[in-house]
Amino acid sequence: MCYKKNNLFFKYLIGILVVFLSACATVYTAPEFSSYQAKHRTLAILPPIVSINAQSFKPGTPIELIDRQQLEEAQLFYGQLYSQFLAQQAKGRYTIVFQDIEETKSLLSAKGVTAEKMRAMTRAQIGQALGVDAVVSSRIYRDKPMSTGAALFGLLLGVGGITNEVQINLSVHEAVEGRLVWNYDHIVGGGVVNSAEGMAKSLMKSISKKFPYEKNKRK
Amino acid sequence: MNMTQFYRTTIALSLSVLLSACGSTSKFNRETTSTKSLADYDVIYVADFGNATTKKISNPDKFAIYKKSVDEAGIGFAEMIATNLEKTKNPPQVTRAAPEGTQTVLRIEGDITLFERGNMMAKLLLPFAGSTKFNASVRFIDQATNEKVGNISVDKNSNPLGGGYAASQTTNAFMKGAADKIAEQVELLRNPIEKK
Repeated sequence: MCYKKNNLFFKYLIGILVVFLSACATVYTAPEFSSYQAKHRTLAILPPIVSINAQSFKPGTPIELIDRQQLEEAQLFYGQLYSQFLAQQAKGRYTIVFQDIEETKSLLSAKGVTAEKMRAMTRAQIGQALGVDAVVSSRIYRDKPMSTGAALFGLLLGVGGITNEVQINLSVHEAVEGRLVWNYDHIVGGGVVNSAEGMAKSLMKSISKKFPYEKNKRK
Repeated sequence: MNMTQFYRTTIALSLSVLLSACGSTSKFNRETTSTKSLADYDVIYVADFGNATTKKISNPDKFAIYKKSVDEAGIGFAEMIATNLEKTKNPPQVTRAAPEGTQTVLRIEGDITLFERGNMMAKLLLPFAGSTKFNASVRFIDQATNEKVGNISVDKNSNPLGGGYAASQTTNAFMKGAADKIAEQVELLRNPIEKK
């Protein structure tokens, strides 16, 4: 009897721990998504915005260097995101096609839409400027809550720590009214063996697989 | 009290602290003088949050890095609120720039008042050390008249007991949680449950 009670108690504890340890992606799909999917043909991917917690850098790091690294990583992630989508598109998985990112960049540049101006525009305005049915925008937040040295020291003491934290928030807005039709939000933490770039890449792969414009999902 | 009861009480108390001692996001406090309802607005404009932290850092290099991280958090927090508002039931038009036109616009703005990244290793190993803190005041303003409609206070801190759970509580996770709560409350106030 006592054993049964304890067993139940430990199951309860394990249940609580599982809730705390499992960090799932939050995926939002607009209720009327299937009607948008039926109308959408071309999607444009906007350059991601990368924000790195400045406190991840050593004191004395010039702010310009941090800004430059954010821009460089944004370019890197932009290419990776497009590649992941193209890989799935090549498998015939989607009902839509993606506008080439070089064309997107060129159109934005030709219309004088800079990153700063883009903030003041609605997604509908951006989508119409690009001549697409919907736009994919993303924001990647990176932090290094613990140094690798501290994490290794922690491992010696038998405790693990998060040396890299990556959050990705990706949205799809339709280009007529600028409504949000899909959003993916996920924070992942990695240890000493995980690089931030590797984590971001695996998140993008996961996004491309969860992307809602799938042929078999169309109603 | 026998040992089994002692262990159970200790675990129950620890779980209670674990679940409750992480700060909160207040309910929407309506301004007593305001007659406006959040349901009156077609458009919600979410402005970047300002930096109203008072942390004193004498080293200018460290201060520059700290200021940059808070400034970026102010943009990130506004982005999170805006995205969450777009996910609500009967979503309003959400914009991140002051809209032009004749629509009724609600401006959500505010300040980050406390931003402590904390020390993950200290949190892992010691109770009451290296806490992560994030406080912000969120104001709801009528864009046309600049009349304050209400406010929400965010007061989040990592679990004081320390350990793995406290270590996983970052400023970014706090902002995400607070943004979820703010959007939930706006949704509730814009779509009141009809009485049967």
